[in-house]
Amino acid sequence: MNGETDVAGGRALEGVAIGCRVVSMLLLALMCALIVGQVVGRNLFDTGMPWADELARFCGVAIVFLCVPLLALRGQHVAVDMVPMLLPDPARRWVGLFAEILILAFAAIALWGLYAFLGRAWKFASPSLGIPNWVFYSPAIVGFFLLAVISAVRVVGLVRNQPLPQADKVLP
Amino acid sequence: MSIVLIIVFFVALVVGAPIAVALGLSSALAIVLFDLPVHVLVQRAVNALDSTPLLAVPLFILAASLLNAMGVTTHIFDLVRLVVGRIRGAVGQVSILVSLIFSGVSGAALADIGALGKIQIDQMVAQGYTRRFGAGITIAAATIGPIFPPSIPLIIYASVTNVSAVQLLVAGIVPALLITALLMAQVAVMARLYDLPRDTVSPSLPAIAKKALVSLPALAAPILLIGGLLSGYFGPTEVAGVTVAYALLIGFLVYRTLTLKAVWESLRETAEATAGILFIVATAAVFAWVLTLDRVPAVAGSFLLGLSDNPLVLLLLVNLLLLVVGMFLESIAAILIIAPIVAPALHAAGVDPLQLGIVFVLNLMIGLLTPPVGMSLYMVSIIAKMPVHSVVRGVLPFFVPLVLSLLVVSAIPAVSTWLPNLLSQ
Repeated sequence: MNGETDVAGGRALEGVAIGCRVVSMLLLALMCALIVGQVVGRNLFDTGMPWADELARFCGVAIVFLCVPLLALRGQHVAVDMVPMLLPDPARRWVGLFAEILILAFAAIALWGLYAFLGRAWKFASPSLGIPNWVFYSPAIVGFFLLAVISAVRVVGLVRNQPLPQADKVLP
Repeated sequence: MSIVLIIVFFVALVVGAPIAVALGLSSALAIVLFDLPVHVLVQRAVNALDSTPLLAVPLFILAASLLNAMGVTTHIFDLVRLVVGRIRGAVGQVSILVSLIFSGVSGAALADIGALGKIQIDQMVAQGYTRRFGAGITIAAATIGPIFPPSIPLIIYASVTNVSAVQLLVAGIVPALLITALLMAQVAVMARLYDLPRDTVSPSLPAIAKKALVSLPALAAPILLIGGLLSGYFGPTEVAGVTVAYALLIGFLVYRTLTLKAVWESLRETAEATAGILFIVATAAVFAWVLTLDRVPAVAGSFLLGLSDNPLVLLLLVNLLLLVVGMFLESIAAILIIAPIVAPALHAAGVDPLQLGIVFVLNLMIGLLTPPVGMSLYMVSIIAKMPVHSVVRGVLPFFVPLVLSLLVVSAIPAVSTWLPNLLSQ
């Protein structure tokens, strides 16, 4: 996959995706602090913090889903591009379009799954901190929603035969 | 159901869809087509990430990134050069030893390549080695990292198969030393055959002492971590957090080369790398669930046990399976999908769970060196600025020591089990 942002709304999407990444970086820092805090608390102050583990796990989940859209936008997800790279340019474009449609389909089914799950279980809460499911799953909602929008934008770009700029040219 | 799953997975993989999407979409279609509850897709994916052992993944990546950012890899590289001296093929040997040392703080092969690859390849090219040889030794030496503790793949394997993570990490120490020794022997043979250059350093005791003093805080990290693990002061995930804290401590207070900007950059790198790896973990968990629902692990287990009840024969069969799987599946996805299938059958046949864990991960690390899904190949290709097929040719000679290590670890359980058994007595 290549980066594709020279389409309508591309710049705005970049901004939102980068914002999500910044949140995930801050959550990563918080997660480190919580893990080290647990070690220090237990070994030096004989204090257990069961809630810290739950919060750290929430951070771990959120880091992933909040960074997925930016990786998709920049075409940086781990993929095997050996076969597409062997194809001539027009065929590669069609195969790229097919791959983007697959991503869109996956994101759409995932959003459907989230709707089905949270429709009945949104208010159930986590055991230690009482985080409601809709909060716990919110990074996944954001991640899959943005993934769907980004892949839709890339599909449009490929259909309109727009240029495929490299990631370092489209990001600040 | 599993046939649909596997066909869709391979079609998506071949057209270049992200591996995570190939796994997720194939599972999603199987769920929809076979009328399973669609909410399972996201519930399984999120639950897979809601795991304390997996928190080690971003933490080890962050620790390696911070240590690299503060420049300690260069200090360690220079120190080992002085110690190895001016033997033929010295920088090749240095690369292997530095990889072993760095693997004591890093938990992933790709992190090792990211931290050490450029220094190693540039130094070798500057001394007259071919770029291909430099790439080959860098990539082969990076297989040591995930076998020597700490190790992200071993922690994930332990969590999937309910093996003690601490014991499994300790079980990796002797095999990692074995791989190091065999790789060094291979370089020694190649040094004679191809008349590889000697190093240009002038080793002296004062120079070594001076460099050792500078490198000491970084060299102390693996000892602190392994000691902490064995003493029970912290668990495998906590050890990763403590490594980050230690890296920040020495970076700001001892070396004073770490800046807030560098920390921010490390957080950025880590968040992106973590998302890339763990998104695969999330969707692989759904893929594994669909396989389990279709009774694939049970059928595969019966099939394996029907072939032989000899543990060694079974291990060799699993080796063959994993070497092929490693060519097509990303290593963590392979652990999540294949380990639950083969581990129960092999445990039932009498294969030691610790030995199986090491054989499993070593196989997949060799898979990182084989196309088409050889992540190490792609990474070194970018770092060394050379085509992937050249990197493959560079790494070919090093398959000999790596496969030999695999055979030894497979044939002799004590290589993996002796140390953890000794320490648990």
